[in-house]
Amino acid sequence: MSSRDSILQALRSAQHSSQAPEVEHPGSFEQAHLFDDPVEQFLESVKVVAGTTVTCADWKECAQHIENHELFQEAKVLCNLEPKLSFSAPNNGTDQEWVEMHEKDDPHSFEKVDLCIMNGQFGVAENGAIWIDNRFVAQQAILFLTQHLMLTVQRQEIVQNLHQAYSRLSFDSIYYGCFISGPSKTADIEQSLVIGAHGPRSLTVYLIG
Amino acid sequence: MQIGLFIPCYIDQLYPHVGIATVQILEKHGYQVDYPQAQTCCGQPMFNSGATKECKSVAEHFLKTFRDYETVVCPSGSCTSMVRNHYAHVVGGNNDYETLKNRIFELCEFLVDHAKVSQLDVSFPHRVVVHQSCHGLRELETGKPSELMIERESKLHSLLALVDGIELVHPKRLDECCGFGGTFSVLEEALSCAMGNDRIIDYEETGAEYITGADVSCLMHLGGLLSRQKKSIKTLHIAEILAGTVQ
Amino acid sequence: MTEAAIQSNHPQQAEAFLKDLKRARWHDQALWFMREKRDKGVLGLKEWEALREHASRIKMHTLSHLPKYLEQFESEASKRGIQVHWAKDGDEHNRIIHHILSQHNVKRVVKSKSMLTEECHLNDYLIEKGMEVVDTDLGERIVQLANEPPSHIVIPAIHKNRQEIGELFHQKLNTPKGETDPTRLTGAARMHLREKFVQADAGITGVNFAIASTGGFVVCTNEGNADLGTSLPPLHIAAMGLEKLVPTPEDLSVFLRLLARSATGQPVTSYSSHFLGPRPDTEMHVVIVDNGRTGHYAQAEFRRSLSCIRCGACLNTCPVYRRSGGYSYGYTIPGPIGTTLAPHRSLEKFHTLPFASSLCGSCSNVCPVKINLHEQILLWRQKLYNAGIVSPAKRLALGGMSKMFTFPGVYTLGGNVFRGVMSLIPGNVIAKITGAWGKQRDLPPIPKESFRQQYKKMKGHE
Repeated sequence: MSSRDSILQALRSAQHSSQAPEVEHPGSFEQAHLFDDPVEQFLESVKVVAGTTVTCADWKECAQHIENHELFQEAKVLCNLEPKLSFSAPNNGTDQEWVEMHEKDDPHSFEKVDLCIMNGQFGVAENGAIWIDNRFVAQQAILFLTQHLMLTVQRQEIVQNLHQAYSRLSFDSIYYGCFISGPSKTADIEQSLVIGAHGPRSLTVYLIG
Repeated sequence: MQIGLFIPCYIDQLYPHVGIATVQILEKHGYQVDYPQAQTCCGQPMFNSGATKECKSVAEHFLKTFRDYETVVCPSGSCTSMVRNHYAHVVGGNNDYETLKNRIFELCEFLVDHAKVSQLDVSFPHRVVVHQSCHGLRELETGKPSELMIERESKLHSLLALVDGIELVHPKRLDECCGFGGTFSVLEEALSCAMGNDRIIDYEETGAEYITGADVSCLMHLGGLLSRQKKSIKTLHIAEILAGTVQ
Repeated sequence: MTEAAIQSNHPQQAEAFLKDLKRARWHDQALWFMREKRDKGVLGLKEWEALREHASRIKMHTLSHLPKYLEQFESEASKRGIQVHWAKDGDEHNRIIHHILSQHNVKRVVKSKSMLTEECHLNDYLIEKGMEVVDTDLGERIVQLANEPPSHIVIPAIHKNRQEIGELFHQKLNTPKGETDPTRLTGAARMHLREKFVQADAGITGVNFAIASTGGFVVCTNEGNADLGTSLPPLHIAAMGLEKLVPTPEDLSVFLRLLARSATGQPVTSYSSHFLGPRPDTEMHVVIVDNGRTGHYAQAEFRRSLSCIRCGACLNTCPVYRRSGGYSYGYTIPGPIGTTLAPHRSLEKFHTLPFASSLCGSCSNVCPVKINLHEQILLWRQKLYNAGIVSPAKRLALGGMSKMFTFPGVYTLGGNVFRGVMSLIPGNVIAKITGAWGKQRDLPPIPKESFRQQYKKMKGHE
């Protein structure tokens, strides 16, 4: 018998012989506390997880703010995955290199990216997490290779908590998705928090609208 | 109401004054107390060692001794919890147990929930820290364990607040185990003592003169460490303060 | 060092750990700090206790329908192009993974945290076959460089202080001698591991949650190492204990709310990565592992411990773990959860573990899925006793105790004799007689009369 079949058989006969009760699924979790102002809470949560927040009226204002950001100005290699954001590149006549992303790219080609800018689908008020999936970033490696990450989220795309988040997610046609909450971090050395473990050293969240 | 008094074996043998204080406080609040002489032990030492079978005859003896009382009170959270909660695994289904489990109370529980004591007329003008014993706190729910996100008043603190002149202080770690743990105290001697010493340091840092609690076993362990190290902070069972048998 | 090389005599290990009291106190405080962070993290969540209850019920439901959900997961995963494998034990798990790796001519592997691969000793196996295996979680990399196993399931190098890590990095990663700053040490590890990520031919991860209805799985990290390790090379292998399932993504929301809050007090880990299939032109494999879990599953009274989501909260709150360290348990998973899991491997080998607990119950209260940990520890004591794995002397004493407490006459006589004799003996001699009790503790002054004697007199006078 294959390991698969013997494992499944062992479990079935154990369930039968142990007479363990069949427990019913408790259904949806309905007791979640809701925030009065989820947007405000979202911004607060992003700060709690060591991210920085900027609120902008529209895409144009956001692009301007980014262009004036020192991370943008210091970046040598940049990648922008959000078409609604347009920058006067190359910026100020400097020798910034802009990389584009295509599905067939070798993910290693993003190794030197200093700043990546993209739009997140939605944000979660309770934990500052932002959902990203492969429909908007063909090579997710860039999100972790980049030294700094800037994510935009639209004001109307903030949900209260993870329960609401999963109720709007569909996994049918994606192979990768991620909730990103703050920059990469570790506290593995004497529990002192260090930002920038393997992934981005900073996360800036632009709330638009 | 006549109360059947359950005095755990180590209180009977080593801390008789705690038993006396328990009698006094119950009588003071208008209860008739009867101490059935046939009682021995609840069986916890055997149960916690895994010797369920050996525990059974002890538990049956306990039930026989106490089954005719409408209410049983015990100045130990651990022993009360043994009977109320853990007997289910020893003599579960036994009719006497199914009745008694709802009728046995730890002293503070009884004073707060049933006697509804609101006045004590005793004074204890000292700085006191409460040692929350695990089984009282987490199994009898005499207070809010620090792990749980719930509202629950500490019965020990409510009672002590009625004592004149007492100053209650709080340790940094509100309810960490002292390391007694029955046979744990000897099987894991080094750990047990390290845990106890850490509690003592935390309690000393509050500036307390006395450590009090509802379980003599924890206090015996802490007291044993204190005595060996000739430290000045003292242990007292809560019954002694509530009964006013110490000044 | 392998698991077998570690003694599993807990009292002895604990005593050795406590010999360096200053260090033991530091360890205790470091872990207590984690517990405090957890308390702060869950404090704001009014529905916390309801959420725990809900999670517990989802897990119990899933376990009671486990074969069905495993089959559903397998079928959905296959539809997505994920190749599913089944391993009866650690050895088969290692062989399957090695086979996949060699088919792809893999030389260099990067691995994110997986307690299951620790349990199966995968690293040793692959290294022996000539592959380079690099643990990429910072804590795991630290213990790997030191040639030690993890001492904690979330913070594997918590037993090491910054000076030791500084010295280790100086030797292995050429950091300046005396460098102990965590930011600079982490920076050095970042550079070192970035190179490993870029060079890797394959990435191995664990599985925090596998979702039956989608056939996908979720890996949670703060560092981003699972993502870096799997998004660059063309091969991703995930090792998964067969108990890791939840039925739907909706259920996942409950667990992701609990996991990081319980572990570190964060509202969620920095990255909750959902793997739902291979990237174009790459391969993704999941190895579902039994390794003793079906045997554990068959024991209904212990089944709840298969709900564990490996948050580490029970380790952090455990007054024993904090003062004896992860290695004192001699098992891959230490602390209260390890104490309930290890005896499923060998009751004989781990017979001291169920007694390495004061049964304070704090573990059961912090557990986000409400595993009755301290009750299971007690249950193991019964199993040990019934299996005769308790020393004959102790067995006799417990039998004697039982007789004494069953017959009040014997008890009263025994007590009187005890007090009489004790009051005649000098304290230092008592200390010797009372053995382990008296090493650091005095007995209380022995009263002349027991309570029952005093009570009789008191009532006689009335």
